[in-house]
Amino acid sequence: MNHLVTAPWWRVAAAAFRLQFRGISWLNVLVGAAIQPATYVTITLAANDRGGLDPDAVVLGSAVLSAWTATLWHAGMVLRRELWAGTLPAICSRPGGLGPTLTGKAVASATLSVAVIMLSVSLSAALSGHPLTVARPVQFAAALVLGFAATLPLGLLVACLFLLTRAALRVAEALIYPVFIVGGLIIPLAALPGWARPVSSGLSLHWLSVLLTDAAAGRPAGLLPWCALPVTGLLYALAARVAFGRVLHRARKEGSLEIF
Amino acid sequence: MRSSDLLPALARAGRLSAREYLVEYPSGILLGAVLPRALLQVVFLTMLGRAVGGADGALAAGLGASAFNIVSATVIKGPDVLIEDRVQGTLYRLRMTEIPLAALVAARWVVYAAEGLITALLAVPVVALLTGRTDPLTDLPSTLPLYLLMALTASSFGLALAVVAVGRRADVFLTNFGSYLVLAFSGVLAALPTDGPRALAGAVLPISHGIAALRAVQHGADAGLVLRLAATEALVGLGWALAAVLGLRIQAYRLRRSGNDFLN
Repeated sequence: MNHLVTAPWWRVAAAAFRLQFRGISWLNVLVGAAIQPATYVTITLAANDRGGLDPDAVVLGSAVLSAWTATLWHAGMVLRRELWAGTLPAICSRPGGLGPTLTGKAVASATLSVAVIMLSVSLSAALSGHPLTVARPVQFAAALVLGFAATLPLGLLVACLFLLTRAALRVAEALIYPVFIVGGLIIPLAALPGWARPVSSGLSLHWLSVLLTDAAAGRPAGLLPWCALPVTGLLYALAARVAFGRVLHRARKEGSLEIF
Repeated sequence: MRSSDLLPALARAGRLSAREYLVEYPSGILLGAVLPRALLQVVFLTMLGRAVGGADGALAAGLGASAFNIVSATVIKGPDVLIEDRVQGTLYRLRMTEIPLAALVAARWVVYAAEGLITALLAVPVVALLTGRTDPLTDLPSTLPLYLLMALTASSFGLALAVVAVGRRADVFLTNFGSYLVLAFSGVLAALPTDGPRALAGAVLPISHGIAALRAVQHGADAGLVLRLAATEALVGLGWALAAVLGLRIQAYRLRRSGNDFLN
């Protein structure tokens, strides 16, 4: 990550991006990015006969909720898959390095997931009789791009952390629901106990959900979500940098990356 | 093989499967990841139920979510019993033993059904806590057989999915798809409508009648209705079990003709 602006860095990242797309497991992408959000949209809208929740908030909340699943299972597993395939040491020892490979693959994985998720929630919302309408498309698109940029470092962080534990799959399973619960994504923050509400402020996905819902409803978004989203992304990026350094240390100095 | 030899053999297969399970999920993982995930799933669905349906919605969703824990164990994880042997290339050995493959798989499946049952029962106090109601706990002696029944019917469904998945490289997709199918159409979050496509799908999926029976018990419905729902749930499970056994037989027949376990 020290050579962020050099041309070879970008070339390696672009090659990793292409490789990730070529080797994508479409069925696995469909589970997390299409079936899961469609299920949550369908069951929540069907049960929402009292109108307790805003249908657009349910649809977009389900999309963001699945973005978290995709962050864990797709972006987060990028390095784990290299380890399972036995290609991680080779990547670490190449001049291109691990940084651009991780970034390129995580961006490819996240891009694909976001596209499939948006398609899935739009279709399932329409089939459930609540077609998604976006009153402020420019604000919506800007929020989506900023949210992508702010959440990607979270994927990089998770990818590095999952490399440092043998129980990555089980940890990923356990991490899903805390964010579902305290993120304020489908369940309104008002439904949470007072002590749990501030936790959502540290989640970029929460602010993304707020911005997307406001844009869909035609409400002008306040300054707080627009500022909080990049700040949380920056914090994730710093944490990812530290975790990445730890991974490289294990790979190159301790040589223990594959034997713990 | 005589039945007097079969039962000890199946018991041994079950014990070995439990040991294998504990290697895959040691106590640290069980307590640090598997159990928290199961309980947090119930917390999420119960709170979602409250958001859409108020206090009654929370209770209905909580009961459904506790039963859905069974599906997470038996439909997503359970199929590994069969699929892992295909991946490791040892499935042919199981086919060559004197013990019928379906019985062997069932014996090895018990540990996953037990995980589902235990996580479902441990979720009941969580539901009681979240809803501020004590009846889910006080009703537990009468609902325990229903949870047990759902562990059997969901296992049958999981086995049928495993049979389909074992011949293809789509086990992760199929098992997760099956689980989401149950979540979407078995009335986990709220009761199913009485007619329409969702009701039709729910009628043939596992745990849907079982969840309806749980809610009927909680509403104080008469025993006849609860028994009817339980019988329907058992019938659905029997259907899936028969489909799984039939699938295994068809696979064995095709395997003998083609000599290839990957084309089943």
